[in-house]
Amino acid sequence: MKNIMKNLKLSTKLILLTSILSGFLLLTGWVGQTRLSTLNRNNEVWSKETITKVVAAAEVRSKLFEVIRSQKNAVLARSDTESAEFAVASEAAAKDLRRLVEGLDNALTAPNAKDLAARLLDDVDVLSSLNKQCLELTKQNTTIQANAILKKKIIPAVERIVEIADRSPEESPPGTNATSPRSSVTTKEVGKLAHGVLASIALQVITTRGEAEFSQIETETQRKVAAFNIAIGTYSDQDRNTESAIKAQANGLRVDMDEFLRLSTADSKAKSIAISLKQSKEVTDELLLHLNEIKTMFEREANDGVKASQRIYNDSVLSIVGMTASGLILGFVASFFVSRSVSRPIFLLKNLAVDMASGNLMSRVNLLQKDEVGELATATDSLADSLASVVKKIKNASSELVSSSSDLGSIAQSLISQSASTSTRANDASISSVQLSTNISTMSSAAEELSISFAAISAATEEMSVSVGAISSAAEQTSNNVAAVSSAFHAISDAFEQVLGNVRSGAQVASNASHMADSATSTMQLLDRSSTEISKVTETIKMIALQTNLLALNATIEAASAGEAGKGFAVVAHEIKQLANQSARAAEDIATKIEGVQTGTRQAVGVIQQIAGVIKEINASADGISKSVEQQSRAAQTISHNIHEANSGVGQIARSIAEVAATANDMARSIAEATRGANDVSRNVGQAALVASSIADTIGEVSKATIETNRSANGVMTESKDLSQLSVELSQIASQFQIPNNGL
Amino acid sequence: MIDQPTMFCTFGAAGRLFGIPLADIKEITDDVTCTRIPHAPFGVRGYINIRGQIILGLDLKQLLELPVVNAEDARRLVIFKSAIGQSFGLFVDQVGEIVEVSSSDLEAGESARLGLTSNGRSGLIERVVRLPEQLLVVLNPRKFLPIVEIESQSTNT
Repeated sequence: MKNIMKNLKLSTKLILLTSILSGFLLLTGWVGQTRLSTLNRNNEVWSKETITKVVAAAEVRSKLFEVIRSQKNAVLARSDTESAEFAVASEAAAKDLRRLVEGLDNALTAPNAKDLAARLLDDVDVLSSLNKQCLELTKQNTTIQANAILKKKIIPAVERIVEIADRSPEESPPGTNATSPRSSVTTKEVGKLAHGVLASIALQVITTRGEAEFSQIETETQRKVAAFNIAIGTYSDQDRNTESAIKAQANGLRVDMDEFLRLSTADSKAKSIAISLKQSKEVTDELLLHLNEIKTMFEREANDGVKASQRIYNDSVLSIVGMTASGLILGFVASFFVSRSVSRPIFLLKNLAVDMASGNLMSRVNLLQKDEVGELATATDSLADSLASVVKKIKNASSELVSSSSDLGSIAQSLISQSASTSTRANDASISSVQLSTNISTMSSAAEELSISFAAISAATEEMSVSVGAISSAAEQTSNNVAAVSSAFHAISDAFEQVLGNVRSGAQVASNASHMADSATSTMQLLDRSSTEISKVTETIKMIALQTNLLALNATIEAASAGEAGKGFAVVAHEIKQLANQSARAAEDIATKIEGVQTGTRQAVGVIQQIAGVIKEINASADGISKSVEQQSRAAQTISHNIHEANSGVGQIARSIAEVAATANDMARSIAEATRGANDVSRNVGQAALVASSIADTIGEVSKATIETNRSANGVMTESKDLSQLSVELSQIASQFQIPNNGL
Repeated sequence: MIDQPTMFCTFGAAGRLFGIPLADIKEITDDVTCTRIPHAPFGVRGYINIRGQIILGLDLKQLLELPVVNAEDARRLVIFKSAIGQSFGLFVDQVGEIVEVSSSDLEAGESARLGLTSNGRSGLIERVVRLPEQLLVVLNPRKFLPIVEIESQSTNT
């Protein structure tokens, strides 16, 4: 997981994250929609069916009650017509009930309900047949007829009999009734019997309590009627009128009572009431029981439906919540890994950039990650590496430069000391040459004097003997002078030797300096190349920073399209952008510094080249000095030779003068020779004077060259100091960076 | 909700600052190779292959008739979302910062005074918004493709 996260592209990660979240969203939505639609369908089916069934059951129940009510009404109705009307209504209601029950049966679909439906239908059939029977009985309405007979016929007849009996005089005691042995029953007794019959009938009419009691009362009534009939058969009265009246009433009453008893025995109302109360009630109760069962079944079905709905609802809530939770958890985990894979490297990169900015090039990110952040980290690492190597190179070059410049300084120092010594020597030579010049001019004047003397010799040979002393002294002076010149020349020659040696060592030093300058130049060129490499590196850094900037911009765009979810990532992208800008600025800083180094390097190269030129000049002037000195040396040797010759000439003069004393003949020749020698001397001396002045000039040149050398050496010294300072600065710049010790 | 700032991606072309709503941009790339199309209408630079998808590249400076110093300056390609137009991008000189302009500032932006109409090339510029340092010319990327199509029709006929 972690490696995959590390190696995926950043945009791919984001797309993955977004697709996970939206996928779960879609899944959750789909599941919720399907579940809810199932729930809805289920609810619709259940509610429709249940309502239909409940309505059917309620209709059945109300119709049943209508049947019962109409039946009861028919039973209780006062008149025949009302009873018939209610009976018709009841039958119609029974038909409707059957139709409704059939409808209800069709609505019952459950397997165990079929049985129940069949029973219900049977109950209804039984109920309607009972109803029909009950109604038939009701329509006969015997009770009302019996009541009518009772009211209209029996009660007036009994009242009449009782009235007659009340009016009849008190009977004579039974013993007195001997006139009519058959008549054992008196009028009063008949009246009592009639009253008893009426009471019994009345009891029968009002009794509706039960079959057994009714039949007992009926039997009692029949017994009393029979007793009354028997009593009437044996009845006689003394009063014929009363007797006939009673008999007439009793006959009528007998017929009526028979009719009443027949009707009463039939007792359709009671039967119908009994049916209505008992069988019909039982059937109705059973029906209601079954209806209740059906109702219970419906309730159970409704409860099942509610439970099923509840179950579906719970399932769907559970699955939606589960989907959402798992989506959230997965999204959270994925986003945690994505943000971790981005934020940690960026934190490391930021630390690295901060380290680099503070000059610590030791730290590395070393991130093993293959996405854009990993590439950035690798690029930054390689940037730090190349920067470190460059800084290391600069450090080496600057330390080399420091040593070179100190070498150069020491060389310049030695050059200065050499030139100072040369100057001293030249001054010595100058003093010597001035002395020489003085001597020569002295010699010149002596030679002129000699020449004048020779002229005097020439002019006055006669005065020769006189003049010989003067000549001799003059020759001696000349000889002395020549010796002094010769010694001076030796000194000059020695000085020249020394100068030559100094100049040669100066040339050596100069060539050393030239070599050093060349090495410094090559070092500087190395430095320049390194700086150019650094420039290339900073260009690369800038390019990386630019690309990082673009990357961050794209990341910001992606984050903006991701909306609220991408807000956190937008912050990260902003950080990356700032990091890129910081890197670009750091690269710019480095470029500026490198440019300073390059400028310094170029200045140093210029200075070194100037030094090289000066050294070459010194070399050239040293060559010139060498050549001049050699020329001087040669000239001095020539002078020495000439002076030697002059010396020998003087010796010759001396010898000639001695010979003058000896040979006068040779005198003219000798004098001519002397003149020639003097002329030679004069010429030589002139030449010597010319040479001496040329020496003085040359020595002046040497002195000038020496001064110039000294100045140049001082210039070298200053430049080498500048160079040293530059190299120290460079070293300081380089030492601002900490670089790893290994591998570079 | 009322003062929610609109984010603009800014970029420079011919020294001016232009802006496109960030929401319209799909991505920004550089270092792309553009294949020129012979007889393409003015403003079309060519086709670019971005990861296998061919995208029509338009040149902002040509479209706005800005001075072109060096045609290779415009190397950054701003690619728009497909909702803006089918597979096209815009070459700009350099990509700048992302700026947030509050809706009140956006409303205060000049549009009427410039006499900007929704027709023709002036329709490319939607309004000019004042930023703290300079002015931001807000472009309407939805107008780019239609204008190129109109131009190609006029050149064909």
